[in-house]
Amino acid sequence: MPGNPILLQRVIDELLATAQANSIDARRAEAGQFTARAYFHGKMTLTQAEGVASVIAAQSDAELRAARLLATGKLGLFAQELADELASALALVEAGLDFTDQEDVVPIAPQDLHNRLISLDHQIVAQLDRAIGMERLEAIPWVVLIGETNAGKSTLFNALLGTQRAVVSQIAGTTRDVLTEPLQIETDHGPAEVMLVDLAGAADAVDELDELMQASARSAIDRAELILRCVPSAQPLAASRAVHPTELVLRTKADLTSTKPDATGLFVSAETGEGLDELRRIIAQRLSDHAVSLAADALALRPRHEAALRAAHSHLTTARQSLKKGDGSLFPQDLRQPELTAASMRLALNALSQLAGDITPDDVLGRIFSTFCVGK
Amino acid sequence: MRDRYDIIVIGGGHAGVEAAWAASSALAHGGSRGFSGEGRVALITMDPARIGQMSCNPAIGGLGKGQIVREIDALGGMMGLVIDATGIMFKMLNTSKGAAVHGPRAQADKYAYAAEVQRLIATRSNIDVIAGTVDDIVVESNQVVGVVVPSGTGLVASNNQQIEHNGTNDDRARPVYPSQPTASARSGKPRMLRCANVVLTTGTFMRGLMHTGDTQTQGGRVGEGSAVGISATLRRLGFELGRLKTGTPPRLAAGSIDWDGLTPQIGDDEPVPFSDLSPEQLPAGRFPHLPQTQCRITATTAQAHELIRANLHRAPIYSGQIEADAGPRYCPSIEDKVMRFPDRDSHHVFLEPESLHTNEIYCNGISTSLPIDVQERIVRMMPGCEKAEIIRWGYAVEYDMVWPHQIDSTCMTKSIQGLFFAGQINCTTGYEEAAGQGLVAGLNAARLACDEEPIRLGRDQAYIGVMLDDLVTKTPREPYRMFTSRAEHRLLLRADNADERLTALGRELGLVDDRRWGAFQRRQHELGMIRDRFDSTSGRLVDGKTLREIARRPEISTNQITAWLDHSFDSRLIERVITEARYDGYIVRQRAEIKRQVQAEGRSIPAWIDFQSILGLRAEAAQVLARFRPRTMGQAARLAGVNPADVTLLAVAIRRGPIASQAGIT
Repeated sequence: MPGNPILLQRVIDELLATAQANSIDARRAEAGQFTARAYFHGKMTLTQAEGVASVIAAQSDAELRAARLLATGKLGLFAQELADELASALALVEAGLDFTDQEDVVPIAPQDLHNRLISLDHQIVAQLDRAIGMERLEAIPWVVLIGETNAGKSTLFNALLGTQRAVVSQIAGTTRDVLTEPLQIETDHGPAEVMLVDLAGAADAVDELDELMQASARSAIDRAELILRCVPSAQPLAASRAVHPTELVLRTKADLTSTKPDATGLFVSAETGEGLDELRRIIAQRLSDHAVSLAADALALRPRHEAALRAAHSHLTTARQSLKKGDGSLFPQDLRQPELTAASMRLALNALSQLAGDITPDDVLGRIFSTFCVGK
Repeated sequence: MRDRYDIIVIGGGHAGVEAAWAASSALAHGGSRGFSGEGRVALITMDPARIGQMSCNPAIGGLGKGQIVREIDALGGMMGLVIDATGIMFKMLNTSKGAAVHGPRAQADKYAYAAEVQRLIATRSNIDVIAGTVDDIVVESNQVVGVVVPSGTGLVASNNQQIEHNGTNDDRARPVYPSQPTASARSGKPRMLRCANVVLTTGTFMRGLMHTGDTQTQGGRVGEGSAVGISATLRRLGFELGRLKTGTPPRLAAGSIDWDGLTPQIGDDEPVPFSDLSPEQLPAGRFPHLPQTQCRITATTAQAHELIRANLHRAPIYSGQIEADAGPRYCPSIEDKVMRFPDRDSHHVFLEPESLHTNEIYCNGISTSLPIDVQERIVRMMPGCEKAEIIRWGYAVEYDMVWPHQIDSTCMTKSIQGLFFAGQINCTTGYEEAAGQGLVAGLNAARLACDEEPIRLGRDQAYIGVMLDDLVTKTPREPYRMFTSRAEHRLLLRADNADERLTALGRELGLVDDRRWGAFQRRQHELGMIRDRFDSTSGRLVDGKTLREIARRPEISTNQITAWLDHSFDSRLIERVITEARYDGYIVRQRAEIKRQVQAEGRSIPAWIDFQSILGLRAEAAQVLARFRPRTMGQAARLAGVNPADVTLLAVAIRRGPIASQAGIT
């Protein structure tokens, strides 16, 4: 599987699941861990230590960047909402454990807690069902926006998605990253999805960072099913340029020019919406065989995220079971083994915190203090 | 008074006495290899008659706290012994729930409690009790060398007649130690007492300032002074100090309360002792030792809440008269409760007797700093208290503490070798929390004096370990109190199994005497038999299953299990094994999944490390590490803002060694 990160992730997932099923302590390596280990075991010399440190730091930076993207992305926000609800429910259980001697604390009833846990778990399961795994993402046709710096790619990207995903400004070269976002389209077979990709300005690399960007841009172009070449309407099209069979020329910012130097391509305006419906129709037409049919709020999941959601689901299931008698009915009135219910809820919260950020025991205590009047 | 001691403990509260007690045991065990050559401890306190005093609530234990008392007992400490001998109402909290959250708690006769602490201290021939204050801690080359005491300081002796008198329990227990040394014992001029290590337990006394309305009184406790010099000493030694506040409610005269209409709160029919040595350690082998009493419940009224709102400007906590950084959210004053929960027109107040022989009633629930005219009216609006006489007014107290990132989880400060802190000085609250730290501080001070490695209790080993780890890896936002929800290994850290978690360790460290060790081994033997029976497939099976499998079902009762055992065993030990059966699967799962468990948890971080110059380390991580200066890889990994890659970089830097790292070359 050289060079196939998706396959690699699948293998790792499978190994982890097998290890867990057999009570073997296994986990994903942390950033730079193997490099560090090689160094500790004398496989690298002292003089290479600086290199070791920089490898670890770089991997760590990449993870942090990914984490930051995650936190502001759909999945992060979804997980934060879930974690918040779960922490509030946990606070109600913990209040019944740590503050039972307090006048104000009424322990949560099994039925109430069960309802809350069911609702949380349903949301998780629904997302897992709807989500596109990375391997399916690979199968989704890519529609890549290219064009000179400030040709209006990001504005168009946002207009098509109806969001403000990409950072857009009038300064050339604002978009410095490869942005990908699933785009809903209507095909003859119903709603479907393609991956819309926005590339960094295609100008020559001016620094090291840009060079990296250009590399990922080239690989995105290589795998694109459809390339949308953006050329501002006011700018004459270079006549010499060969048009690739998978390429569609878009004349952007159509609203800004009354006189058009030539009539090649589809004229669009993100500002007025001119040509956007036609563009969607063309995309659907060209790709309708490849597009993946999906529910509207699907999330793209990386294996690590998927594993975290699955773990949360599993712990919530255990938590719910702890509310039930042997015959499957709920205990009446009080939780029978609240400390076990809380233990499973805490593990579910830890799993979600991989996507949502840490929620510490002190945060949970804070929720108790703001809900109940505790303290004699 | 001698010229040199191995350990000098400053402060005779709950932290100080456990520190002295543990140090005394560990030094005796260490074979007097220490500094003085005799393994001697000095306990210096302003007023020896008040050693072991309960300044606030006359109770020990509770949820999370009760577990700490059990751990102290398992490690040979004194708190469990003392409360068993002086408790007047024992109650196990949360008995309707699983064993992990059972919390033993007891009301104490506060005079008997302090007297029993003093009696136990007096049994240790290697502890000198000294009446006086400490003006200065002497440090040379970042190492403690002694303390300076003013003239008038001197040794006090225990009074055997008093001990005998207290044993009869006919009357209020009286102090075993006098408040002052005799004239002949007093030192004529200031003296320096040399020592190897100091344990500093300042409680609320460091620049203590009490407030009742706009009346301010210097002191850490009613009728006592404050320690001013020590704050300055600590600042001079480079410590970063903070200021906290807490409060206490008024005390009422029992005879002036109309008890009849008030709901009683009673103790358990079959009280369970705290100590593994009870009832054998108690006179006549009887537990509970003292006659049992009850508390009663009354409540504040809507009218009183009105009154509080109208007088808020006169409450120092609200008027800005108190400058402290924080007070405990879980122990709010009545003015806090009224303001934070405006919907409620009543709050419970527990009327708790402070002694079997005095008329003092502790008003649990209305801690306040309001002026006395308001306090009186609030009290008299409570049912049953219409004619109540107030013996002592409530007050708020603010005091200095040292931000706890400056200590290690051994309780020793990171910057001064041989200087240990325990109790409220470390931003904690509660007798139990203080005592737990005192034990660790005293033990480690003694080990250092004997040239032995310090002990750090793990988060999966003891609540005391959770507390100290929290203190050194997090910035507390209020005085730290233990809650069971702070322990990720809560199912493991139970009151019932404290002995199995800690007594063997305590034995190794010299804290556990032969009597306790013998009792522990007998219990272990019995537990072994029960566990064998639980796992046995050869004996009688129930539904073709082992007892352990049967016991996992929550609907099976202890009585049913007991009936299936074909031998009579201690019912508490049977319950322990049932709990194990029920928790086992969860504990395994938890252990596997607890976040950020570091393989090299205990590996120490060398002192030469310069966090700011570690290659590749992010600026944020470097900053956090430089502030907290973690002493183990585990502590480093638990700091907020330090991620696993940062820990790996730290490990690489340690491996590279000091010279290369400092010079920034390879």
